[in-house]
Amino acid sequence: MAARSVGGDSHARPAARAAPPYHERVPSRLATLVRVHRPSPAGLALAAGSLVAATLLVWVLEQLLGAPTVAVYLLAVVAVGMGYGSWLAVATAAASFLLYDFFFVPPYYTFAISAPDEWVDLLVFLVVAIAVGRLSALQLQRRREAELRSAEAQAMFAMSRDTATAATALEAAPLLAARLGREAEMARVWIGIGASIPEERVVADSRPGEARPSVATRWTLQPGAADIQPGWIKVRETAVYRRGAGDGREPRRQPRDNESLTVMRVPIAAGGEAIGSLWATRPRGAPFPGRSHSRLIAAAADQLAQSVVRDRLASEATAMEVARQGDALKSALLDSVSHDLRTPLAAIRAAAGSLMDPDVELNPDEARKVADSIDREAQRLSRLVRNMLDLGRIEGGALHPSLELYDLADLVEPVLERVAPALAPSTVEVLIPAELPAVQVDALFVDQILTNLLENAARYAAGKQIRVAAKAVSGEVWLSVGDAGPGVPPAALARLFDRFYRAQRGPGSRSDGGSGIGLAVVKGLADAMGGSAVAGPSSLGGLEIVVRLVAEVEAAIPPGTEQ
Amino acid sequence: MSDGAVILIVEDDELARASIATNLRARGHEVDEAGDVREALRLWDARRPDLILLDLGLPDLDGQAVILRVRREANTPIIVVSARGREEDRVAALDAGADDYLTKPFGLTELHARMRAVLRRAAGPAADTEGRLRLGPVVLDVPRHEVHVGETPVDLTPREYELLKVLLSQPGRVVTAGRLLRAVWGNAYSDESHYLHVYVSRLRRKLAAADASGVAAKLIVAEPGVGYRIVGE
Repeated sequence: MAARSVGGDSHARPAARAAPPYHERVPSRLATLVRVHRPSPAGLALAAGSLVAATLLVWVLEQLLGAPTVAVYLLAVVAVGMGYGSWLAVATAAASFLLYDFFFVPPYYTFAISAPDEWVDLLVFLVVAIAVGRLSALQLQRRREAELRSAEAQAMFAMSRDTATAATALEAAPLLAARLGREAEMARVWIGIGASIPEERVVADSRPGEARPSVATRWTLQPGAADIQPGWIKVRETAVYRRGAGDGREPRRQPRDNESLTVMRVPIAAGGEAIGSLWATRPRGAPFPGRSHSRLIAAAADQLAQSVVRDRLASEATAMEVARQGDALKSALLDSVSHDLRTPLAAIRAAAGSLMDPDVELNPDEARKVADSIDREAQRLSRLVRNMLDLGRIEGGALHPSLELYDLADLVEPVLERVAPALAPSTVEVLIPAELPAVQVDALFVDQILTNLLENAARYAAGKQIRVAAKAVSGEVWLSVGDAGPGVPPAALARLFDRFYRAQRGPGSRSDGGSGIGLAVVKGLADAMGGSAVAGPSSLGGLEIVVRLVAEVEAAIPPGTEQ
Repeated sequence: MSDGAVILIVEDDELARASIATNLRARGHEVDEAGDVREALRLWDARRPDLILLDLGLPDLDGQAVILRVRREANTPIIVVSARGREEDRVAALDAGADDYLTKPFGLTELHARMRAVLRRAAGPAADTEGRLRLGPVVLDVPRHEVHVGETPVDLTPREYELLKVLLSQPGRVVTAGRLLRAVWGNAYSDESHYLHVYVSRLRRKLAAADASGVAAKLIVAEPGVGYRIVGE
């Protein structure tokens, strides 16, 4: 049913094979070279032609010089040997011997030789001619081998370049399949990726769209098919293309060449682990491929295996890097906020504890004061949590601003009312001109931005002046919060919006440095609305943060809508 | 504040519910407590409370179910409580008929203020016998199509007039942007909130300009991401 020879470099060639022309396409250079040279008509013609020419030349020389020169035939032997190999060269040598004997050795026109010294001459000639013929044939063989090696090397190089330049194994697979089809003289090459043959998923096919021989099942049924040796299988074409092949119902006879298909499977494996298979079919009726082709196919499988391994390493590295960055963010966040989380919690517990303490008699005023501190600390916690959640959304790209037109003053006022008590003892000055273009923003984002800026200012400029201002600047409205605090050294300005960054500020700032989240959130929210945030010195002497917001385009409200 | 109101608190966190209930009882209210929608509806049927404080995230059903049921039967004020980051839920609840919302965590002072406002709305009709809507110094005379702040007449465009009318007719209530747009511009414009804020802003400026005391300027409060509130006092 199926003949199978194991071993990629197997040269075992079923004997007595009539070779019908099987080159359906223009063969590659390698393919031409690999073809074993059989007595070709051209070789025979050259041999015959050169023998005739040599005979004529000897005759001419005999006429001119009066003595025949057998050495002329060596030219014919060399020509045939260099052009068509040893076999024909030896034959030419023998033919030369006979021709010279027949035409130029007395008695003429017989193969008999009368003079004994002629015998010696002719025998010496024969030995020399055979030797020369073989030497020149050897020359030819060397040249062919060298060309073969060079072609193979070029094909190998091209394949490794295919895999090297392709970004992934999946991209490399079709390139390799196509190249193998050309270089290794395969009718079809396809590549399946999967841990076992039945699980394989075809990722490349040099002839996509055509039905693939369903050899997989048959192959699995072969003894020792799970091993990682490459092998050839010869299958009847009708069986091959029938669904459910391998059910054992095919006639049990050796298929004839013209109805058989040679299918090769080279396992793709790395580190003993099966990754998939490289499948190749020979052209219909073609013999098993030669060493060189087998090597190419094996090399392609190795390249693919390496490529797959490389992909895996790369994706593992990416996953690790992502995880590492995520972990780094989380731990930085925790480091950064743990102090900020614990401080208000400690205050709340202390206050609640004193309210609960049966030994402490608080008058109503005192009790209210204690409760008030609980409330304020809880608010502080609440703001921190809000910023943490926002930072998470900014980092995760989950911010979806709903942009609408607002009068900036409408947005600023509620924030000031809400935050002002927490800003004491700082005083806030608001400079927002009445005629300001409307801003296109998410109101909640602006609320959060301003809250953070005011708290930040109050933290560093405690008891000093804070100024909230706005102005229109070419298509934008700049909302700024400046303070009279110690300011930030110019070198630190650029890093101010980095998350977890805490600038060293001079004396006068509060001891709690903040979490380093507030300004990062400000920038993230401003960016999400199509705006930006920049830091610089304030005219009040401290730090000024300017948030640039997209302004309404002039005359955006069509007059007609106003009826 | 209207003492002795019956208040239904629907909240699944027991601790939070108990603290609010204790506080409200101390202020002279009668308080019913429910931890899920089923219990809430049972108490609604049993007692017909004067005000409902409703957390939207409940274990059995969405709090929205309570709003829909209550609104089918009565105009009882509902204040919705929700966590931040769920603005859509909030808007949906307001559109379904809730009066106001509070974002967790909130202070009790804030809660009392909101409760006062919605209870006052529920207590009296919006317009007086002569068809005038009145809020602080602002008077909107519906039959005459006129607006005064104190004694000063205010010249409003038709849209601004409509906006003010819608807002004044439900004092103390948060009106979502979608509702305002539908009421003033028509159903087709319910998603075009783009210019709404600018119109409201102009309306507010005109009211402010006519009022030296500064009270009128603060009557309309923006609720970012949700809509507007007319301060009910």
